[in-house]
Amino acid sequence: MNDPFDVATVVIFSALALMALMGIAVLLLIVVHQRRIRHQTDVVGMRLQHAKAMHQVEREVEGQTLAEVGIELHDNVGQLLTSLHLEVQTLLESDEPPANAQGMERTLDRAISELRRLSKSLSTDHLRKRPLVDLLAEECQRLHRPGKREVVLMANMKDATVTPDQHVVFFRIFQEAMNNALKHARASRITVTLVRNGALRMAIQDNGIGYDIGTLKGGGQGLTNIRRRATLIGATCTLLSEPGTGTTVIVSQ
Amino acid sequence: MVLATIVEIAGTIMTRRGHNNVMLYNLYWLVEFVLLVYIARSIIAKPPVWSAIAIPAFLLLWASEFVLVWGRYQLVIYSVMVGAFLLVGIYLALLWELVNTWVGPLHRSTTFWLCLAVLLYFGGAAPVLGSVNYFIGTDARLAQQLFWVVRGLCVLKFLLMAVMFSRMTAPTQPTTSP
Repeated sequence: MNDPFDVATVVIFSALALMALMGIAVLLLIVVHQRRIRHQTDVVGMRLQHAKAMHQVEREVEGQTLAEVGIELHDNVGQLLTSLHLEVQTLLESDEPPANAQGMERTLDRAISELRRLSKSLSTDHLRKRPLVDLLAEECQRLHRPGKREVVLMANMKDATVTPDQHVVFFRIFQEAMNNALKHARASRITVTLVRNGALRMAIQDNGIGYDIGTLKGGGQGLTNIRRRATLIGATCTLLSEPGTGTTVIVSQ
Repeated sequence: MVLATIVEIAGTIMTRRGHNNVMLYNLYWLVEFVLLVYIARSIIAKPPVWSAIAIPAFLLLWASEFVLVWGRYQLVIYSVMVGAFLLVGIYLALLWELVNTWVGPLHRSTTFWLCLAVLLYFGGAAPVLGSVNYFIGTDARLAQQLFWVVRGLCVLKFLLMAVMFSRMTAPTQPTTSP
């Protein structure tokens, strides 16, 4: 192969072969890249699915636990109170009823009706049977004390648009926020707003003592519960508060 | 690209004035190699281990060959071939790293176009440049014709680099660690 033309042919073919080799290498790397991206997408999808399943299980376990507590309260403590009520009634029907027997009966009546209400509110099935607006309205009415404490509900939505998960979680968050407002914030006015404007949005605003969000370590058990419950259904939870200006809890999904 | 243009202009002026411009290209080859290695090393997170030995070895080879061809007006063909394959290796390693870290389509990455330019140019040009001295000695006309292959590859290289520069203004995606 002494002819320069033959050598030139070999050189050109070598150049073309090397370029083709480079091209193939680049193509293979593109394929590897696409596979990696697909794999990553699959992994993210699986993780999301797993997280969803875990949240679903967590919701179910929580619902079942609360329902069982409700049943236990109704069947055991409820029965005991009913027996006690019967004994008080027997006392009242006796020839010489004790002076405070009537007061005892009234207190027992209240205790039994509170226990029934609590037992019902712990049952998820019971909650789902009734529209969310009705549940909130009933609770607001129960907690409203004319002249002492004002609890107002403002709602402009049709309950048919609420999913079963939203139904339960929004109600539990409402209960927790009300508990915080009454127990810790010592609020005298609580305004609950429920609107469906694309997203379902609930705001619980009180005029209590408020707190400094920055210094509240861990957010307190109640607030942690609110956030955790919101996370369970992928809702966003915003807490607005400053000392002396009350607190607003906003949940949106 | 600016440097390449300056070298090309200088090379043309030298030829027209009857001077041999091979030594200019010998020097430019070293500058181009160092620049491309510097760019690759500034992008790559984990440079290939072999490059730590291969790059100094190449520099030594280039210096020896440069001294050897001094006065003979020949291209440092061994340095050109070894350097070309070194660059191909380094840019393949860079592309491999990009493939494993880049999120989104590869064509949106500036590094991808730089790698493509280097791989295709140096992959194709190495055999031609490596045989230049032989052809100049045997058939100068054929050598001139073969240079058109290198010119064509140069155009391809700068076109790919132009695409790379155009990608610099396009929105880029961040890379993530696996």
